[in-house]
Amino acid sequence: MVGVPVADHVAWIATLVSLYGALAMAAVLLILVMRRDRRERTRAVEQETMRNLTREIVAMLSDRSGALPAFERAQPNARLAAIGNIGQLVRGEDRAQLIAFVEEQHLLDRAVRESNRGSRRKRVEAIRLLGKIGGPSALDALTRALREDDDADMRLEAAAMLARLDGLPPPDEFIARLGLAERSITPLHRALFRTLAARRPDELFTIAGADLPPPIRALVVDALGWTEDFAALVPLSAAADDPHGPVRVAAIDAASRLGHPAAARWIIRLLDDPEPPVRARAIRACQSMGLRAGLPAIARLRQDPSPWVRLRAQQAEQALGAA
Amino acid sequence: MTIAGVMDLIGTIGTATLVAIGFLCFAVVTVRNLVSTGQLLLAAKVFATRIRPATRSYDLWTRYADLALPVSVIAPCFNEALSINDCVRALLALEYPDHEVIVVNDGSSDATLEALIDGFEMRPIEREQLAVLQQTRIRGVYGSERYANLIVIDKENGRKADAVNAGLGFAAAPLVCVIDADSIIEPDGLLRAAEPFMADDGSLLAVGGAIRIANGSIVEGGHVRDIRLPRGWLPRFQILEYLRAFLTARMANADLDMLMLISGAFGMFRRQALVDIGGYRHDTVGEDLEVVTRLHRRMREAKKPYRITFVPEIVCWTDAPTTWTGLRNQRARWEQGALETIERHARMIFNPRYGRVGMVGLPLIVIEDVLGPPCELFGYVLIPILYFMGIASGDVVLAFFSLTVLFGTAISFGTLALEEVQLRRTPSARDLAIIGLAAVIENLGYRQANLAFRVYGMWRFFRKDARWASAGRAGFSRQ
Repeated sequence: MVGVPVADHVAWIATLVSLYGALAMAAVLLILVMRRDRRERTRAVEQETMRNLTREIVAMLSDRSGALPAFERAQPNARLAAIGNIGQLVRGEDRAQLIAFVEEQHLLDRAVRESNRGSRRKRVEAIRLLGKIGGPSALDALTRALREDDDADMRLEAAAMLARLDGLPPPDEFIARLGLAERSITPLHRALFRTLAARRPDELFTIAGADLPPPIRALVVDALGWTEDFAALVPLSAAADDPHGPVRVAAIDAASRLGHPAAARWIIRLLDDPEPPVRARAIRACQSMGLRAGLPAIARLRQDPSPWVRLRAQQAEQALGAA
Repeated sequence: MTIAGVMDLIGTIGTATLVAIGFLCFAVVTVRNLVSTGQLLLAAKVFATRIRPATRSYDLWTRYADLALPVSVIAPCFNEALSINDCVRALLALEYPDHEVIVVNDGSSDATLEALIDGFEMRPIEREQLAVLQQTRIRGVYGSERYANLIVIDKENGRKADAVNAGLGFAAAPLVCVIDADSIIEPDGLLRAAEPFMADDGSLLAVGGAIRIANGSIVEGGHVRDIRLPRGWLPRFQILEYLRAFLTARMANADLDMLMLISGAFGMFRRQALVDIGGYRHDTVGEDLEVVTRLHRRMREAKKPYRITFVPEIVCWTDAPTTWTGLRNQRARWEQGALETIERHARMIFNPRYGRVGMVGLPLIVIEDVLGPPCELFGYVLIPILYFMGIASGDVVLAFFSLTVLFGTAISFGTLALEEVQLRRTPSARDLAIIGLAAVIENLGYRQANLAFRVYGMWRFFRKDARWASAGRAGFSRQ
């Protein structure tokens, strides 16, 4: 301010700061633009490199030749990216050969190391990479993460990757490792348990008869529908009389999945269940299994006090009536 | 004391008052800038350390489609006969195992309903309304045998809030996705938005996504086929504003568990949470801000654990105003909506019962939307006045304007750098340079005009002007 030289002095400093700040920002923008420009220019080269790398890896797999030039030059990340791409295209023996190649070249060593140390982000990225590629060392590292990581989210991430590789542990260990007795059950847990059911049906039948907390019982009963085994109908029929509504709902879902008419009798009985979610689910099961014998009860449910039950009854009547 | 002495005293008091107000405004603007800087730094930290969204659900949903929580997409529309069928086709084509589309025709006076009936072979059906939240009469519900997951609700004209409430009443899925019918969700938008619910224990109430500007991009069949930069500078400035709002402010606020706004153009909610609070309010023009604030309030008062989060990878494209009048109407409406929300939930402000939301989140809205615009605008007017009165020197004026431009540009550049490093959705290096240039130019007129529009919104708020002023969008470019 006039007559206050300090103000002018401060203003002069502020103007200088602005000037240097503007120069710094111009430099930042220039770097961002140049970086992007270089990326755009090198994209074609990178794609070509990836093609060469893929071609060489396929050649190395087929004729067991030693490392070829593009493979020699490539960074570990690029090698793994190429392996990941090939992995999506091959199955059976070819995939086993690819995994053996990965093991032989120690391509996953770094991810294995990073899966159990460092920041959460690094661990998750390593776990996801191991799940994407697979193989014995990936399975070992993921199993170790599931067993030993202190962070529940990391263990869940490892479980999801193990499910992808069909490497989940037995159901009782799975329940213990994920601490399901103390945690709320989420759709992700249900998905993982269903994966487990397809691989370990006998262990699931055994655990279905055990004394479990109701949420876990519902989880197990739901998974029984994915065992592809009609022997599951016996424990499902027992679950239909469970005192806990979510277990009865799970029994209906599992029976719908198996689609065996032997379950019709108790599904139709559950149309008169005291709990609205069970009635609503029983209606949906009748609809999906085409149980026209349930139509009279469903017609009655059009007057149900629960709007959800009325809605499902309306939809089922429309579907079964039209069938 | 002589008259001259009295006049001198009045002049001195007047000048001192002016300077004092100036300092007060300067303090408010400084706090606002510090908040923006803090949000940018926090957002950078979140981006650097966060665990990227998982794709594990996609794999699992491929096998177990029934485990993907069903979603009802609610698309209210009004007089959109020309574009509605494209929009609905795009919504039906979204990648998701189990979603229904509920189009609510909010009493359109054109042929929107007829277009839907003809385009999708709709016929009147019976459908149970699970909750009555709308205030207007439902004229009919339509379904289609060919498109089993499409429902059209025809109702009397209300407003967007009333139309969404009508859709909410008919939604049968546990998750609802509320969108504007003229917005474009990327094909994997629903998958990305529903993914956090897959591993959630029931405490997650809502997920917001980033809104981006589609002006200039090529839209085909309801999808953005080719992302391009708009030709006009007005939408280019808005690109920067949206980046700042979504990639810094919302990222930071979500990280601090005080996300106050999920844009009306796209948001995923637990249906029951919305029904429990009675849906959207009809008596505000800022229903999206209000509904999230009310969710916070309800949960804090009930002392229930809950989360409202933001996922920047979810992208919804919208058409930004291309004229100054349209922009004025939009910004005035946002300002009015913010003031209405603050007025309605004033008791939450600085009330420890509402935790961070009451102690920080809402006060930030007060600084941003109540004090900020008039204070900054006053600063722009005051500094030249002080100069002409001989109170401030040319050096001070220059310093003020250069610092203002520097700060505004620095925040924009920081956000642009975040976007480029983390998400990279800007089409090309050339476009990046143009947006960088826009970050400088926007300080020379656009920013000040925006402040004036916000002050106009305040005027409308105090006059209780509830008219809906159109943002006058140009429509998407089609090839």
